[in-house]
Amino acid sequence: MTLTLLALPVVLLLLGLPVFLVLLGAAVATLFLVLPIPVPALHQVFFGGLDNYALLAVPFFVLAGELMGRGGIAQRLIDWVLALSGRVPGSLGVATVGASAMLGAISGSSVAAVASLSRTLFPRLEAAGYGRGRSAGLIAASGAIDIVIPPSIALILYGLAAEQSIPRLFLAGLLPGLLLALLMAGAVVLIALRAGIPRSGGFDAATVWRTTRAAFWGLLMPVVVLGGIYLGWFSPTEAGGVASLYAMLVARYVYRSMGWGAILQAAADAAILSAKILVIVAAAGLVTWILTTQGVPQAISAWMQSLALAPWAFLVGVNLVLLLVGCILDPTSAILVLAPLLVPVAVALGIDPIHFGVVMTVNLAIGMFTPPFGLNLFVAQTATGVAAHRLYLGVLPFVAVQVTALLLVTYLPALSLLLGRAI
Amino acid sequence: MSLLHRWVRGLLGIVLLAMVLLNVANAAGRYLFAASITGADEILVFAMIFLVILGAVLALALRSHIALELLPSHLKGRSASALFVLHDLATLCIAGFAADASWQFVQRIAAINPRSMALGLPMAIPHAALLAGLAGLAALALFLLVRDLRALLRAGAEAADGGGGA
Amino acid sequence: APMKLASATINDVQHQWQKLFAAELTARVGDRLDPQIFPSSQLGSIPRMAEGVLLGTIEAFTTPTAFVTTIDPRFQAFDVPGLFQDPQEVARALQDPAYRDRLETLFLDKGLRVIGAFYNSPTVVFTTRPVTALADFKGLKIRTFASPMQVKPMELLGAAPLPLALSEVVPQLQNGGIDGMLVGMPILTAFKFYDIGRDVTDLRFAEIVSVTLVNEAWFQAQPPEVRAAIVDAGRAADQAAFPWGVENVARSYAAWRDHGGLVHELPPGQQARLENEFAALAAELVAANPAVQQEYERLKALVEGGAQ
Ligand code: NA
Ligand code: NA
Repeated sequence: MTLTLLALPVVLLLLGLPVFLVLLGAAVATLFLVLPIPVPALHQVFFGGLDNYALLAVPFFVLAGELMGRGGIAQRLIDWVLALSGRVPGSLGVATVGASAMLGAISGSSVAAVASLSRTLFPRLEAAGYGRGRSAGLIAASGAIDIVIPPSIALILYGLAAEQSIPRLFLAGLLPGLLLALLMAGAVVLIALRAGIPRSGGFDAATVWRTTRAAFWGLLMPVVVLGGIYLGWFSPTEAGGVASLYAMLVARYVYRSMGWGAILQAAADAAILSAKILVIVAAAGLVTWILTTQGVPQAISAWMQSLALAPWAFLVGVNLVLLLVGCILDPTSAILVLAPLLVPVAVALGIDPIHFGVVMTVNLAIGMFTPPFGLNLFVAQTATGVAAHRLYLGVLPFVAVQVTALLLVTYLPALSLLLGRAI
Repeated sequence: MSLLHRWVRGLLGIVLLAMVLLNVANAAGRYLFAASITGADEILVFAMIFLVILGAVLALALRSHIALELLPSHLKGRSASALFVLHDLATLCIAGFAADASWQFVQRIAAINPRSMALGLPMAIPHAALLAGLAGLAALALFLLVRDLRALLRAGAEAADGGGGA
Repeated sequence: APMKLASATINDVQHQWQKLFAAELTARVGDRLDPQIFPSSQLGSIPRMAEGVLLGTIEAFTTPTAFVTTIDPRFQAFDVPGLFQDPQEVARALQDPAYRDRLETLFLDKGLRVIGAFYNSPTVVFTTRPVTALADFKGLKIRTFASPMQVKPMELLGAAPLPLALSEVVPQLQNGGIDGMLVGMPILTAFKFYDIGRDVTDLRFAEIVSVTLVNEAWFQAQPPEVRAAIVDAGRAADQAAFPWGVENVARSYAAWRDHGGLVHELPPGQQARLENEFAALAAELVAANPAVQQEYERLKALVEGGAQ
């Protein structure tokens, strides 16, 4: 099984075969050659990886991003953020992190944010002198903020798998999510200073007023989407559809920047990019299913328990295992499989399960952009066209930044638990 | 862009836009009129599955799937053609076996005939879409294999000619 | 050989049944079968686990009957509103020896064998505002499954039944997009719904029955003594799971109240009226399918026969 689930995929991956075929190939080889499980399982589990309502957030938010980018909404928003932050070194990079946090508060899907930021901000970052690899890396890493800031599909799944209160988990994710954004912004400022990237220009009230007026409809978008969620008008997944419709109407009727033909093209591109992402999610789910039936996650958890570690050492171990797992699996399947196994061990050691959920989520969020495997990386690579090795190098500093944030989240439980106690 | 390519793109775009409208209409109906469109959730998910399958086949035809481009980006000419042939072969094997597994599944499910909860739609229909997708990937891989083998042979012949002339 | 036992939940009566079954089975066959338990949808969503047991990729699947009505409508018979009013009535029907024999082989035409059938919990209405009288239901948006057994009773109450994906339920409850949901009582405390609202209304309108299904082709591939052991272990697990399940529900009610939750009941006159209306509704619902009706009447006779 090591041969079919490890050696074979590594070889196929290095040969440059599409990632979903690499994963599907591993599953095909394991089911047809190794395991006594009937092969129709392959269809059943692959289909199940797609037959999931929460995944609708991906095509919807990708489409919203496409329409914002092509319809001039994103452009006006970026101009506005830049007018406000013109004096901050690295203002464009900071704006990227800010935009990701904003998208994170709208959606629970990291890849959708990466896709839309790649379309809207990548050309600007590159033009500003951040370099192709660093720009794409920044976008891939910023996307991780989105699954920590509520609403979060990952936290919902943790709540279901570990029997924890989802509202408490949402509250617990808020400060760690903001911490991630803050550290990322700080790192971008440092990078910009070192690279000598010029500031975007001084602060002047006339420009701020002009750009604010221009960006009005764009600024209204998060208000409508977030307001709609918190007023109960629609659910977090439906918010993606609302965001798409909103962007479409503004681009078509307010800015008159897109005709129906252009909107149809944007929708086609969004559908194709979503297909490339979701087919990987489904294939990864298939590999996870095989590993689960073979007791691999169970063995890892039993092994960790057998080490009889102190709580702090257990958390180090969990972080290491999860970062490793995050290199291969996507967070949703990893949480479903690992949470029920690890949470009892954590609770027995006196670790708060809500805190543990945030630790797991941050961890797997980081895994989404650690080379070589990670959905954020794949999406950023496809949407920006940056070569893989340049993207890997570009993302590394942000891996370091977010691992620092992870350590803070891990060893300062108050970050996760403070808000829940206050309310 | 070939006509077929344009038609498929148009279809993908229309389906996604229709999904957006259905999704918003469903949310509005629930909030404003306390009534949801029967089976809207199921239609949306099945439409998404259809998009993914069709989009995945199209992306394979365009060689635009997400992949680790390290090796392919360094190869040129004959070695690049050889690698493409290798990709096509691997794709044919993987998609072929997957389609076989899928065929076994769909046959069984069609015989038992479970239905979706809200619409009462025979589940064999969305499942058959995945079978069609996997079979489509395999067929496309076979087509690409023939095309890329020809290109490889041509590149080989040209290299031989060039070698003879030098 | 491995025997994968899958379910969507954890630490509940279904999980407990699987543990009891595993112990009973191992006591009978030793290491000839290796029962492996996969709780919390680790092997996929409910429809996928159902397909898994149909196709034999998963050997056994434990589930409330409401989730397998898409495979065979006769499973609806257990969920007809008003059929069961307390756990003893469920046990009386399911543990009747003749009925048990019948139930085990009832779904063989679908390739499924029942090896466990046991009491799960009452279905209650969780709401984000108090519902203490029938009139309070008017206009409330209540999340249900897209099944007539849940939709129709809510319509009867004047509420708006809304099927909604599980991942959307909690945010929508918190933000007022929906006002409540139909749910098994232990789920409410397991997922700490007292953080979202405090009101539960107990209408005594349905008791959830869980079944464990095995793939019949796999079952028939076992040697005769293993087949007998599987059947016996299932029956033994049913017996042992019943008191555990009843206590689990009691624990759940206690935990709900400990966390400030309230459990409302309708005034007796309204409850009686409601039960009459449920009876009429039940007749209408089962009339839609003769096979369901036949099964329902069989269960109803067992419930009523025991009451005399
Ligand atoms: Na989020
Ligand atoms: Na990774």
